[in-house]
Amino acid sequence: MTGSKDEEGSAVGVATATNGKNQQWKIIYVDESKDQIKGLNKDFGFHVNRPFYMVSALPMNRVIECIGNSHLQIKRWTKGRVAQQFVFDSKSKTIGSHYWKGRAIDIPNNGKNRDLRYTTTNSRWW
Amino acid sequence: MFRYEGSAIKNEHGKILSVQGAIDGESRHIQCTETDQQKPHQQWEVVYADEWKGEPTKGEMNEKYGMIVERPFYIVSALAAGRYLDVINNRNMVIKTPNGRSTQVWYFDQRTLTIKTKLNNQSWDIKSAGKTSNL
Repeated sequence: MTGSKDEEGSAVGVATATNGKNQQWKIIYVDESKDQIKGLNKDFGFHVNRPFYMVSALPMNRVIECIGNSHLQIKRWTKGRVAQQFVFDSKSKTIGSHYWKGRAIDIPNNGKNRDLRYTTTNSRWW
Repeated sequence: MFRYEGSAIKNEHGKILSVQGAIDGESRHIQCTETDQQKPHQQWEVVYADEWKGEPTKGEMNEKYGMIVERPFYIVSALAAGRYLDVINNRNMVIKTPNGRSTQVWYFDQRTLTIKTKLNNQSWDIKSAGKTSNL
């Protein structure tokens, strides 16, 4: 790993072997990997695969809703509106829409925009 | 990727979910800001759908606001005569002797989270966008 920095998105390259931690790897076979499928993910603070609302602390207590196929806005809670529910995915570590499967909250333009959207899950840190 | 920390939803670089313009309005966009001011527009509660109680309906108590939804009530002054809160000229709020008129009957409206008069279903408001003492 270039620079030995344990940061999300750090570049990986080749170098002379030093046997340092930045050159050591463990292979986990997919059929043996143990992804958390339920319960609280203590690192991220969300329960895995359990739909939730994100309720604003502003007085009307509106909830975040997926509008169209990419916008996020606060709206009054509406019974049964799945577009207002989100799910934390333990594999991608993203907050996904419970309505638009396979899409997650993202900061557009490589993290440079202010307005959030939800888009195809990419798990990148900006 | 975001974490839920305290009442903030933030990523590794400290960017947090915020409501655009800090305005509590329908359809306001969700933004990502770099300054955590710990203000309400940046604070969120994660409520799991299987624990969501929904909003109180007619006849149920709204615990946060302390009133029963759409259940008519009088508002009685604690002054000696015990007069009722009343509306005159369709909009000015005064105290008057109980008279059985709808101008003295109020109810809590869950949709707007306001107290409304039975007279014309208008809500309480502080004049001049909250800058005066007149209701």
